[in-house]
Amino acid sequence: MDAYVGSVLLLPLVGALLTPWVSKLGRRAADVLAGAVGLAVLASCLALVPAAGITTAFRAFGTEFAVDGLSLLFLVVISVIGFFCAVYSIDYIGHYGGRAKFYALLMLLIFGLNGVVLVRDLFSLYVFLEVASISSYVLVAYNLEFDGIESALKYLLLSAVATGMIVIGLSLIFASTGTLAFGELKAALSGGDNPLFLFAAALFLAGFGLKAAVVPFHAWLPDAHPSAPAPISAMLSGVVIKVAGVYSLTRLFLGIYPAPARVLKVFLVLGVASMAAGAIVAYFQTDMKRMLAYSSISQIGYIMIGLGLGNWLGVVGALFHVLNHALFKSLLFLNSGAVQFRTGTRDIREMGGLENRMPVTSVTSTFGTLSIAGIPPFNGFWSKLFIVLGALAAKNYLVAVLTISFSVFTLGYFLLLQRRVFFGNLNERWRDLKEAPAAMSFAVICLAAQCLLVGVFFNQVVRGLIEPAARVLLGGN
Amino acid sequence: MTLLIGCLALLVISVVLLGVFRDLLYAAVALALASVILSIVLFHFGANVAGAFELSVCAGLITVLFVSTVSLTKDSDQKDEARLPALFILPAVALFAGVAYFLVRWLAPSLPAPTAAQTVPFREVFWGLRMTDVLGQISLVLVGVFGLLAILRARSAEGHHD
Repeated sequence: MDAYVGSVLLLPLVGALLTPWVSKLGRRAADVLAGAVGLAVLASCLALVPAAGITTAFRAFGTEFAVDGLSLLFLVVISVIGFFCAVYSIDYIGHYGGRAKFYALLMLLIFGLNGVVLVRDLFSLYVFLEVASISSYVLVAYNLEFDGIESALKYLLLSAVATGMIVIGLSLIFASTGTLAFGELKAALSGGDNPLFLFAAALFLAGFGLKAAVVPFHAWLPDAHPSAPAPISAMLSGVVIKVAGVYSLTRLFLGIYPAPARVLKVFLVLGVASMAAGAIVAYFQTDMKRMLAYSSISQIGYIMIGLGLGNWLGVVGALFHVLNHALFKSLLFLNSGAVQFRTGTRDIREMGGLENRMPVTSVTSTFGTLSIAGIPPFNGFWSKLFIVLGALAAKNYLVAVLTISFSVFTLGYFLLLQRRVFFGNLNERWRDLKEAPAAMSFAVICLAAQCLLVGVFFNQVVRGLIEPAARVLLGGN
Repeated sequence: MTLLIGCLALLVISVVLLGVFRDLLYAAVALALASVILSIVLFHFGANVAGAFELSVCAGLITVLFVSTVSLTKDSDQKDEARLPALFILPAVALFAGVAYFLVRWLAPSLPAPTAAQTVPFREVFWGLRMTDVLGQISLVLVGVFGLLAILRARSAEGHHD
């Protein structure tokens, strides 16, 4: 078991170190290395799934690492999306050049994210968070164009504020408890209503909230996600905001901080605000990727609502939505990348009728649209249903009604996007357009299939992967 | 106490200069100066290991990296920046200092008394207890190197839209 965990943590780092040398072996050598590393990490993660209910802890590099149900869920999300983004990049990244450097940074991003979910003390979590964050700043600016660099700077500056808050919070907690290890911290923090703990909690909430891009800490996301290369947009929306933000908030406030009732109310308020604001602003966008970015803010809102409800159904729904949103949002971002790759534009008003020219992209986008809108039997339906049932169980009828209403609203603006881009009359400019290259199409077909299969076999996924994660936070059911 | 206040004042001045300087080389030097002053503050508090790190890595190594990078890119066109942000730096720093002062006053009674000097040898801390952080730092350096190479690369025309 330790070998699998070790592979998950170290293979991306080793891969990144080897990339400069391997890339000299041939033009496609870096592609093969990145794909092989991604596949090996994915296989190691999947090998851990049967033991999802068991916590495996071990010491390495002088610190404690552990895989419990919650870590495993996020590891699966990172490795699945990481692998398909690497595959997609085979045909996509040549457009930008610097193939080996791109893969090295992508692998370091995955290494940092895996480290975040495997460590068992807050300082190491912060260190790995920085590895992932700095990799993502560079990757956002990878196109070397004005909007990319500007967005990366905005992302960097706001993330620096978040990091500052997190470090100050860590310092205060360490100064008063003498430890940052999760287990010891849980015991130390249960010692009463210290104003210092409360202040540190506010700093963590703002810092990790900014990383998760929940309203009102979301300002960086609508610029950073559209400007990045498509696989990085998929990683950012599908994985990074969840690991850096949602995982850290969840681990801290549902796993370590005592009596989280007050914090859960904040989660609920932030969740509703994010769900509503993200969806409404997304509706008015004419930039395809920007619309998806605002939609990510809205979907993070659903996750925060589920966590904020604090009951079994809510938390299971939130954690299931972490997986589902990673799948369908990555799919939609990769498809938007395919459209931009062929048309050279992200402006929805310039598109139309692409379904005949790009049938794979069109069909898989429909899968993504139906998933994100919560249409059965696609995966998004089940996680949203759990969240609504959680709200009903908590007798929070307003939240239940709002969740359903904004899900319908999401269906509306995504169908509008689908119609404007893929249906209707073909714009004459795109008469000679071709489908996206093979590797890009393969990646989106696999992700679309997962959106459907996770929905069809939701019971097995929830029992095998989601409930063990929820049990870590809430104890037995 | 006088030394501490003097150092903190110099620290603020060097950080302000870092934001105000138009020349990246001067900004890198101001950053190094800030790191040196911060390391004095750390030594003053008895955090010798942290002080040594701040001095060697931040004031030394990072400055060398910055200066080298700035020198490499010095000849490229540098556009005039807007003056507006500079106007906000002093009020922002003053506001931050004021908020920080009141926070420290409010939180100080909750903080425990400083513990006795650490007894674990530095070697044990570095290679044993905090090896993960070293791994993290190595990865950060790696990210920095790949990041710089990626940002400074020439835009390739490899397979442009097929």
